[in-house]
Amino acid sequence: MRRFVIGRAKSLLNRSYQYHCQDQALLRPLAPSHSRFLSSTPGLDSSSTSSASSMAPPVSLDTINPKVLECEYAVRGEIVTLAQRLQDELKAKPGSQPFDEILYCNIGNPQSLGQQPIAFFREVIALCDHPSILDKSETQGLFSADAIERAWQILDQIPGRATGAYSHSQGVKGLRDTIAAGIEARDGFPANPNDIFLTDGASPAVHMMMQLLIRSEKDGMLCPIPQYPLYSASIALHGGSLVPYYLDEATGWGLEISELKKQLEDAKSKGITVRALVVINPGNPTGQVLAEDNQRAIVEFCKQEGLVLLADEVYQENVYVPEKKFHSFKKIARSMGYGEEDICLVSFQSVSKGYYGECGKRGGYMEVTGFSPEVREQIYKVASVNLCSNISGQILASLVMSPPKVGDESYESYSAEKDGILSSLARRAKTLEDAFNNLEGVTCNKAEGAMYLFPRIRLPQKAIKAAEAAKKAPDAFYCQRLLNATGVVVVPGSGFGQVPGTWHFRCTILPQEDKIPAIVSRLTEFHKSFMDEFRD
Amino acid sequence: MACFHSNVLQWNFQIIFTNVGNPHALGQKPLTFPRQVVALCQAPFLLDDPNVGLIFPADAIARAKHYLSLTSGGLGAYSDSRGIPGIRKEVAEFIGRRDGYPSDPELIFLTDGASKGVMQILNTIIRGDGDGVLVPVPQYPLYSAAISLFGGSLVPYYLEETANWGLDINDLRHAVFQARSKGITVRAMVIINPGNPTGQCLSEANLREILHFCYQENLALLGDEVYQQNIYQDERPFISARKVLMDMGPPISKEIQLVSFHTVSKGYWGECGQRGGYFEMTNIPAQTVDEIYKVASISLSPNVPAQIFMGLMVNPPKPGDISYEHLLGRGAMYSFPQIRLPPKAIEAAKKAGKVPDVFYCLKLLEATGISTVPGSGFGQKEGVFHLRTTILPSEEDMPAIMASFKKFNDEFMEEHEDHRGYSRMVFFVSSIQSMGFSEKPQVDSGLELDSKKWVIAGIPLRAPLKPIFTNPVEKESETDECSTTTTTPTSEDARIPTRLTCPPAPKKRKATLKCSYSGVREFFTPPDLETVYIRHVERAK
Repeated sequence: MRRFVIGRAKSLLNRSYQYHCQDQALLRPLAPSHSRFLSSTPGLDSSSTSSASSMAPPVSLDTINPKVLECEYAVRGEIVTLAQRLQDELKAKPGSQPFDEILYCNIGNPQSLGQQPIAFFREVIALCDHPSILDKSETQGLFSADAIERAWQILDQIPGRATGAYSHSQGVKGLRDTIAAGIEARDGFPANPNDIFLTDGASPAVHMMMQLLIRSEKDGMLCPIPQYPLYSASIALHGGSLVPYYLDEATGWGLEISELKKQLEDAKSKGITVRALVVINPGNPTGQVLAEDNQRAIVEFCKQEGLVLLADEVYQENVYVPEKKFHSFKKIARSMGYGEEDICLVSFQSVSKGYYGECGKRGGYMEVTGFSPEVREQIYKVASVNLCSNISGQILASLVMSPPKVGDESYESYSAEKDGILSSLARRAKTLEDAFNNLEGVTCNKAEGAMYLFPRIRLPQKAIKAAEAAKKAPDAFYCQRLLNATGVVVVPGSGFGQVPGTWHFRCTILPQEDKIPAIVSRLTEFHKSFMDEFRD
Repeated sequence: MACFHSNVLQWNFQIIFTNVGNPHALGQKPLTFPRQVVALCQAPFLLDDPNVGLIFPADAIARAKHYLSLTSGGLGAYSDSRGIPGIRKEVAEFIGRRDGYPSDPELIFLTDGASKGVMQILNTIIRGDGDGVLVPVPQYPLYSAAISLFGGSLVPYYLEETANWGLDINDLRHAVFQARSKGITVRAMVIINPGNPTGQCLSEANLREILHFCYQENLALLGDEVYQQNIYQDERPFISARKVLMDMGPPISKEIQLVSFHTVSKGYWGECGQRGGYFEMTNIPAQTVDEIYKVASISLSPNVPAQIFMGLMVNPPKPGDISYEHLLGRGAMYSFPQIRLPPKAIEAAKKAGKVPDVFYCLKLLEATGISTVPGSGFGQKEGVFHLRTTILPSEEDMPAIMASFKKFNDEFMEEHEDHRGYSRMVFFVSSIQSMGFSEKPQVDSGLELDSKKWVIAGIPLRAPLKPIFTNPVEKESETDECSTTTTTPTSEDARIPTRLTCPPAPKKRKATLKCSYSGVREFFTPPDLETVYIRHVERAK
């Protein structure tokens, strides 16, 4: 990065310095002498400059970057703003709403809804944050022995043992080694620690890749529809074009290669160079887990078309059905015999999902394979503008890729916590799925993985008309009514994209189990009254 | 650079990093209280443990409970994309106390370090390469990098070395004029106050001039004030751009758009690895604030532990609290001395294919192990050479560092000088008032060069900094003591050797604090220096 920065700065400097010399004479009549200027009131000296009052301020809606205005992020959009307002009202005047709490089912933020963190991870992070207690004997009474041991190991990997110091911009080398070993254990194929970039959650990693791949609006990214809006927002922010491919709801949100081919050809005919294919597996918001054959076909497609495969694999631990298993795209590609030189593959992982759900830590990584050393150098350069990702997040990313093993002191409690969370999520998914399927005009696919359900609602014409009158998308209208009546926050499907004319919403499966029955009854009651009001 | 480093390692030198403002990597110990609070927030189950009081003081426990109550779901949940409301309120109160004008928490966004905030704002402002941003030279590479990444144009202005790196409005006008003549719309101006890499504080009068200038030219002002807590002298204290703006009254105070940045990475805090920061917006229209919020929300939320660090930084323990300590950490982190190199040295550098100041820094590193950043990494006027040093090495190491620095400089000049009349090296540190240091005879003696005195800003750090030793220190065997604590029954046999490094007995604690390591160490590679060298090596080829 800096090499490039310095080069740029220097060329600017040189240029400017030349001007400096040339323009000395030219400028002298314009610029008042130094001493005079210091003593004069600058307000009087506006002869050569425009007055501020006649112009729009530099930072206003008319003058800011139009790409900023363009991008949208539905997960925290209008509905959430309304929810926050309702929450404030509830706090100020309890009993002012027909419900007593807001249930945020709009965002995959498990710990805000009461999911407990894995104790072992937290022990290690606490010790790394405050290492001076490590050698106190009292600490052994408060922390498990293997957490203390792991904290020592991690601190030894951090230069200066300092979690308060900037690390290598790719992340602490020792932690990347641990992660690479974790990937290798998962896939059975080697991973190189130098391919790993630790980031503040997966989102900055996605931004980084978009920044790298998008050169202009002529560059396209194949994205699933429905998709997690991070992709559409990031593509808009970086000025590229989103090339949609539709997931087939009828086959459980299946990904058809024929659809990919069709959309690719379509984009080509419009003069768009498709650069990459985004696949979210397990799916967000759709919750499907790709079958191994399907994954092979996708890899083959990317290889044939020369596309970069951006694999969003942040839900890799969240698989709830015994007949499906998570396979990383890297494992699939390597098992097909495709190596570094055959396919460019980026895999994103985050500490925010899985059974750990440590969203607030902002930890994550991407594994970048198949790029030339020169390109990787450019990625490193972009990473280094932000110096490094936060160290607690880095440590956590290494912990989730190397959790306690059989025989460790914490193993039993760790695996009990993990299994407890995952099996509870599976039960919640099933309960909510059944509840949605029992509603009039609603169908909901099975949640095989991830943390979401994406039910389809068939809205009566009357409701669609009412929504139009309220200047809202019909699904947004439904979600807003739902929030007002029940306090349940869900995200309208229009934020994720959907086949035109169909309406959906995304609901997380994260509320604690004891709250699920109440949610189901509130939902059912609301839906019934909504349909009664608008039934054609 | 990599091979260069390994050479140094083989020589068994103590490498003294002074080139990146990364205090903890230099062995500065983190402040205890914030680490205690954050550790408790990370492991909230400790709060229920009756024994928690044995290792955590009561006020840290109380503060941890306070911050946990501000979050919804502890450290593991996304916060509001702008940061936890309760902590933004604490930041607003801090700004209010500092400036004497109230601040609105709704206009404060917490970020993952100040750099993220800077990038967010620049991304909002820059529409294309027709948009220019005024950036000081010498500058911190973040700005040039971010501006080119977002496709804008960097419009440089020079800091005047002769006026303690002050800001000359003439120079600014000149820069804007030139940019305009090239068809660039200058939209914003960056000031770094106190400065990096120069370490100066802008005077109130200077800030007024700058604000007037921004008003006339219709520029948004981006105030990078991350070094504000490195306040170290009385006659030129840090004044925030916001305070000066408010002091100026309407219409200016109602119209100039200002964004100020702060971080937990600098100051006596030096918590670089946490990536905590905030920006505060003044006079930005509400709808635009919403757009910035929208973009922030795409990254979901800044990391929560760092938000708590920020809360603790703006609201440290007060007198009477158990953990109240005098936080005496003072002293700017950087100084930017000028080196005047004799022609012979410049020639020798050219022969070696290096820019002269890079050549000097390399020789310095080779001879003494002191690592500094050559000024060409920041941009400097032609024919003038600088190097940036970080004044973080501990007080007790300073005399030794300075002595070896001087010895090297003498020898270097001796080697490359034709006549002894050459001015050798001048530290421009008048803005860095020496604090206590100059009274110490061992610093003063022998550091006078050509009637210019080397004045090094004293930083009476709370804990003395320890050098990082590159060679493993021989350990006394302590098998007996350790074996009594090795009680994990399920451990495999192979684990026993690692057990030997487990929690040491009390008398070994000191060794831990000194950061003396056993085993092979990964080295922190100073990124600035590395790329500068690679670049010039390449260029030489």
